Amino acid sequence: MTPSQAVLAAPVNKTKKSPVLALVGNPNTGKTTVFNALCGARQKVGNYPGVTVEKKSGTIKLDSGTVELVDLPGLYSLNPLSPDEQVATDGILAHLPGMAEPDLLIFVLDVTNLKRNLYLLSQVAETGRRMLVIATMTDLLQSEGIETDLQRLEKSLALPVLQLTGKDSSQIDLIRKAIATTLSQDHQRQNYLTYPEPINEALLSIESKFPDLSRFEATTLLFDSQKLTTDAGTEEATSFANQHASELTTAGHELSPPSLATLRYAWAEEVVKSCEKREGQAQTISRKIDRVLTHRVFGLIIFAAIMFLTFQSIYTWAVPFMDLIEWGTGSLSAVVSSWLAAYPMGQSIVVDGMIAGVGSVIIFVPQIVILFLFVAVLEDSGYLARAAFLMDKLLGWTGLNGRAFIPMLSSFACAVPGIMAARVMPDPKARMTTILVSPLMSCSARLPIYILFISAFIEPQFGPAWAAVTLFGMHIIGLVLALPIAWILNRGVLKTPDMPFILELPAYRIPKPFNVGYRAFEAGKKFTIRAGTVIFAFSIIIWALSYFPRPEHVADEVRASAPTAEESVMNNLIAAAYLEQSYLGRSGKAIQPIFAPLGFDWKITVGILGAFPAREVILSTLGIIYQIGEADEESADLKSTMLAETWPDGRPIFTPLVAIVLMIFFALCSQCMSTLITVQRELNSWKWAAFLFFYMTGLAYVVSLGVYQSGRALGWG
Amino acid sequence: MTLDGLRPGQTGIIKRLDPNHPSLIRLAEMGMINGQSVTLIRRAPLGEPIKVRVMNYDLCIRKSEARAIHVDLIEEVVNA
Repeated sequence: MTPSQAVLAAPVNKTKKSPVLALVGNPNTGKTTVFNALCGARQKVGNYPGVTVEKKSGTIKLDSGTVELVDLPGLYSLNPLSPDEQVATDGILAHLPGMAEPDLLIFVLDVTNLKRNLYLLSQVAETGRRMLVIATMTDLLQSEGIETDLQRLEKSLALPVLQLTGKDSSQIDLIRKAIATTLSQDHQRQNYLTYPEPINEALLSIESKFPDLSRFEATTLLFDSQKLTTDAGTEEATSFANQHASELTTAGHELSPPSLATLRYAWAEEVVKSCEKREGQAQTISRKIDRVLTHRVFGLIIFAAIMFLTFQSIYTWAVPFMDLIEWGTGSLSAVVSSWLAAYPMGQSIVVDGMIAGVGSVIIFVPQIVILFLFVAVLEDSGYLARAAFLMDKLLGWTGLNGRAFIPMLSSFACAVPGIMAARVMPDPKARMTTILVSPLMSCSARLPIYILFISAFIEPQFGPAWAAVTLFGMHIIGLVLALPIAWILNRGVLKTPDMPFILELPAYRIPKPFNVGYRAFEAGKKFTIRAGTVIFAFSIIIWALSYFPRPEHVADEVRASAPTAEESVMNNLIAAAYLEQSYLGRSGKAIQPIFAPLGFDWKITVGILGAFPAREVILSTLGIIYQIGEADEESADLKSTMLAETWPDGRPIFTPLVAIVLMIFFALCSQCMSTLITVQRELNSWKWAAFLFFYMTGLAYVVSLGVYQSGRALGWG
Repeated sequence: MTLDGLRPGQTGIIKRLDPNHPSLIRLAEMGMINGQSVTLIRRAPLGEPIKVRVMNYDLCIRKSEARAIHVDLIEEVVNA
């Protein structure tokens, strides 16, 4: 017996603490608005075990007590095609780990798109669960030239139909009352469809022999012999249904999923006729907007402008917040430093390890929140679907589709929110590919490195034009490599199935500020909590490697060798000496031969190793190694010291070629702990996080090696 | 002819779907069923995908899907 049959036998489970309700409906029907209107801030976001689909649930207060409401992902059909649809289907059929059997399904019905919404409703009703319908978008009927009689709809469906437009409290009260009433009443199963007589007889015969099967399971067994054998009913029922099916097929009846769809739509057509009047082809606002936004010239220009604005805002709007976080962590470091001045090691672990490590993570929160504000607005307004429409062809050959554009583009600001935005990809393998190539986009953390090396080695020698070309080149190299790599991952490694690209282009709507704000808030909160813990641990490990061992004699030798140095110079010399003989410094020296063919000395190698938590850390590591203390991309000291660095034979270490190679290495490598942790969280796999690290490091190495060696062969330093 | 062969603004009545197309079921579920009328609204700037209107809503599909939908052209030009 499957769980869905259990609920038919005992519709109300008295042992349960509070009833569980599930919100069901097509995508783009205003489900989130209904959820937020019913639950307000009494909601939480989690994950279903084993899948990366978000679980949103909240509570509704009724007179009789509280009930739980689970917001299932939107779906078009109970024959699921994406992980989201699979979760929603499993939730409805009560096969979903981490969610109790729903006692009542709240079906969200977009009345402006009645016929296709009724298709899903007919499937869901056949599962035999209690149902209640909430009609949304009723406020848009008039402008779209539609008249809908909800009372007639209620009569045709034989289900309670309520209305919800926004946050109308009288409507919400009515819905609360209807929920309480429906939960207390006896439950009547609905079978809407009319089948040709022999098919109807076969269904009744299956149902009388296997009374635990729902009508949905019985029709699925009869119309789609291959599909549901694993999760609907027993083998016995399957072979019994197959027997009927072959008899009916021989007698000339068509039994296939499309023929079932035709029957469902025939029923939907009857319902629509009973309650809806449409004025011919209304020229709706959406269609007018679409003529511009998907135009072959203006559409692309506007798309580029919107993306530029998004990208630009992530850069600029985040700056004050990032400065604030930097100031906060800086002040905290200063205060803690003075408290712990008597315990140098304790001071170092707290300030250089913990505060610096966690600070390097929460610095991303403003960018994440801003990006998700944009993504939420773009998605809720309906524009995201148009962007996918415009961009699909460009990405199609790699095995991705138009939807991959948003995560990839977002990653130019920061790969962390970009990776999270890959949730828009319905196919799990295509989503994985998108996640694995997005970090190749040149994020804002690479910028300080580019600026330092371009201003030190390119601009002085070749002028500002070449500096700009270099900067542009660094931003484009990741994108250019990402597409063929996506192709290799999809075709060769993951064997991503050819994805259908069947995408609804929903009517344009004005996004609801609460929905948008809540989504951005959740994204920021989730990132901080989840990534913070692991990154914290990694930061301490890296700190320990750069701190230990720390024998006293190293400092003594430095003091003895330069007895006249000023105190600040002395401190820098001692810090450099300690770093050189730390485990990190020793590892850098040990593996320098690997980086020698790229033109890197041991100091650059230590910088690369130390930049594992975040790319830009190479600047502060180089600052310590070159004995100039705190350094950033504008440090004149750091530039002049680097220019003066030489190999033992007197050749300069930093030539323009080495600077370019180093920039390419950092453009392509995956030195970012936050990215790796986010990949691990999103794919629920350390294996793929490790894969990302090794493939990007390998790619960075190979491309840098090629550029350095070709450059040398051409005589460029 | 198939849906892919329509010009923007032209409407066809669906005759049949290619029974071997991998997305057959989903296309039917999204409203591509026999006897239904479907209008090609426009093509994306690079020629693909295409935007079609079926059951009063807009859907984006690729050529490979459109080629699986066989239609009879009806002489009705709809303003996109």
